[in-house]
Amino acid sequence: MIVEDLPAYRDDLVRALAPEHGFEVIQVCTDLPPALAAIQERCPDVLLVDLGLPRGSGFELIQLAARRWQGRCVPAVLTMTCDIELMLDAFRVGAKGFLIKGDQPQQWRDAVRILGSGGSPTVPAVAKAVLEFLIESGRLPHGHISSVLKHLAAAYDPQELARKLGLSTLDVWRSVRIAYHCLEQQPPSLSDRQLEVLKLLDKGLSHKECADVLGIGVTCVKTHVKRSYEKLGVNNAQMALYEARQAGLLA
Amino acid sequence: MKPAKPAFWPDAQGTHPWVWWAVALVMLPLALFSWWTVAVSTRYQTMLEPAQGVQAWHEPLGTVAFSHDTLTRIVRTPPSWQAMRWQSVSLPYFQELGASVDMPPDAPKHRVWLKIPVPASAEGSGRQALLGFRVQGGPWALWADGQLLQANLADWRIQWNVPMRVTLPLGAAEVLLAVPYAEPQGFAIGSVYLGPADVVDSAWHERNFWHLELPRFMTVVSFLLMFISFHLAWMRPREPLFVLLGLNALAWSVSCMLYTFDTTGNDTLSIWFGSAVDSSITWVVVLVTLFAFELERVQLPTFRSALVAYAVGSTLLTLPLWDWQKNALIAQQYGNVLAFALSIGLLAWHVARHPRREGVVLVLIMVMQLALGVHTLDNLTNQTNPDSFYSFAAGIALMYLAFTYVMSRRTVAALQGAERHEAELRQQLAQQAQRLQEQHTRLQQLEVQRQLSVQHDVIMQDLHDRLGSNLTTALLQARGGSLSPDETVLLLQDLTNELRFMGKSGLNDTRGINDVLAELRQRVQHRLKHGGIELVWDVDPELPTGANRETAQHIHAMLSEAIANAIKHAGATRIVLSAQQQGGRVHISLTDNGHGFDPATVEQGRGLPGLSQRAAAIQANCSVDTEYGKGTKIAIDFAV
Repeated sequence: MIVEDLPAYRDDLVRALAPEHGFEVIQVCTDLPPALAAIQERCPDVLLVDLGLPRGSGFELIQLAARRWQGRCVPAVLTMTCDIELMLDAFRVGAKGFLIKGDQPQQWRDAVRILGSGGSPTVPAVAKAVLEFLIESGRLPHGHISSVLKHLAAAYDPQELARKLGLSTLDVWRSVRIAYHCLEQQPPSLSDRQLEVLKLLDKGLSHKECADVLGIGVTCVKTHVKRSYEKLGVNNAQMALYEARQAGLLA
Repeated sequence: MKPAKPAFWPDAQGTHPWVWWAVALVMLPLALFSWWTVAVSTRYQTMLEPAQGVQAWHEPLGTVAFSHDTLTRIVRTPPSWQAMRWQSVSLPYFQELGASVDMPPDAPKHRVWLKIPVPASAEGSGRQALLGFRVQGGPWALWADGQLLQANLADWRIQWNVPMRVTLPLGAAEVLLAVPYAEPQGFAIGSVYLGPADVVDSAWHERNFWHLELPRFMTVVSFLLMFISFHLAWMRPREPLFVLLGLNALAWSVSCMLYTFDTTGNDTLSIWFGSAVDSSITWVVVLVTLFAFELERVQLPTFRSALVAYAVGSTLLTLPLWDWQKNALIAQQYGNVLAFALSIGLLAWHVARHPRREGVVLVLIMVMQLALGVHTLDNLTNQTNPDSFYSFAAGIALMYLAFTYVMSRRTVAALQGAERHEAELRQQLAQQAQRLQEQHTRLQQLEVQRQLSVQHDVIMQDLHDRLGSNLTTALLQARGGSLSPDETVLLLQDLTNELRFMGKSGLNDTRGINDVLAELRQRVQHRLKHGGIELVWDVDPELPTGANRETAQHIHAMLSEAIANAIKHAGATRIVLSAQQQGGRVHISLTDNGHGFDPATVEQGRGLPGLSQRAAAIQANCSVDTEYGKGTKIAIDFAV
């Protein structure tokens, strides 16, 4: 699925991903609202999103896709300048890669194939920024991820790198995917009981009614609600339900 | 020149209503005091009977010189009972001090005897006692039934103020009171009361409160005030008021000491002590005046000096070294009255022109003190009213009140002035801080503008360097028709790439060598691919990160040039870029498998001079190793 408002580039991209190259573009949207509606219905393998859409930001779509379809749909950003901060923000809401609009069609196709095969493409500057961020925030995974990112930041070609480190090229791309994934903000992990209570509250039940339905005490219900507030980082029921809905917990 | 008025000097404005309050504040205690002494403090005295039917006899003693020893003998010697010739008198009984108080040792001496009958009505009311308020003259002695009943040889020097209290024998019908005296000095015996011994005791205590205990208390208080004032004067040596207050307190202490200090038994000491006390009154007058003048800013330096000279002079002239001493002491007191009256006049004139609460209070208290002093002097010199209250000490008490009042008012004014001053300073400080804040904000805005301007310059420079030349080349080539579609794509590709790198390399002050090399690789990759040239990347991923902007630019430019040469001129198919670090230096080499060149004959377009210039600019070693047909190796070696 492609979401892009610039007609010339959109057409180029659609042409580059034509069926004779082994791709299928299942839907093309030119703005955010239709894209949000479409992603609720369909699960593309790869979702390509321009961030600066006329009626909203692509971040929202990426986040929704990531939460709605979990790992089944791979969102990626269509970018002109490959701005580091924007890319990091996109990874945080669930993007797993990007296509540089200035690249050649062959590079686009390579990137989409990498995305489809469970890896993520990158460029040295982005690899460097991701590595630095992961080190700073102490989220760097063990293993060869660090080494892969370091070499990518030093402009090594994936093939060269794979040879040098004794990996397959796909391993390299997958390592990048893992690194991006580590940037993603995990949705709050509510317990089953807390989720149940929230779902009932979402249906408009009172604490007492929740207690009756679940066969537990009202105090118990209140404790669950309070715990879920803490986990969601809110302090009232309305905000808790909003956050839970945003996180896709109530879908 | 009159010194400038300090900021905390109280204003004259709005004084008038307060002046009357101040008057009330002084007059009220005075009125209370009078009421108390007349109406309340004589409660027990009114329960006693004044002695009635008193008779007197003057016994001649010859010309024996008075001293403690002779007086002791005289007091214990009974009279010739047969020679007594009585005549009726009324109490108080006195013989005025003569015109001259000089007492030659051989002056005629007498002993006055008073026969005091004990009323018959006292029968059955228990032990009777006698209370006499004041005796001036030699030590008194009380005789009953031809025997000496009691004398005050131990403390007769203070009998002028300590009441006589004697318990009478049971059944005594009359008692005889004897007081020796010298002819020129005379004597004075105050009223005598008779009554039950317990009532006499109470009346005795009652009277002592005002006549004895208050002056003694004032002595202690004056001492304390003196210490505090001298301490303040020590801490604030530039405030003459504190020194003056301390000296005043010292003078008061000395002048009140005659209520406490008893010189009985030591005649020489008695004379010197009397001189000191008399002189201290002169000093009280002078110092009170100086204090008031200082507080009210009455300048009159000549008058002040004259006052001090008078005090010093009169103190010296009345020392008991000279023959005229006794007369001089009296003259000194008249001099004091004069000096004090003059000082008060001057002060009052000043205060009338500049009315202020403190000034009014000081004038009032000084007038009062003058009146009390004159009253006391009158009692002392005339001896005509021995029942009277010697009020000078009470005046000292009131003066103490007045002085502490004006000083506390002045202190409060100073504190308020200081607070006002502090508030003003604080306000100024706040304004200053605000101004500084505004300046700071302006400077910040300027700095932001400056930075924006620098950024703008950098961006424009980048646009010109990176996009401008490429665009111009493209334009020229397109215009000449020599641009193939492939080359067009390549050119435009370069341009979009430039756009990507522009923002990143432009503004940071330092960059990593790896970043520089990464950028280089991304820029040239399309060209290399298009030319079918393989790039072998052998770069240490952990090269130093702190190269400055200039170094980064030069390295980038040198390598770009070298790669361009390899593509355009050398006909190479393989380029190896190697970058390693060793001991704080970075070694970068670029090796191609092209046909090389002869450095001696190569034309200038290959940018070799540029290479060495840039290397020199960043203090790098740069070597070009080439031979015709053997490829080229360019090595750069620099410190980071």
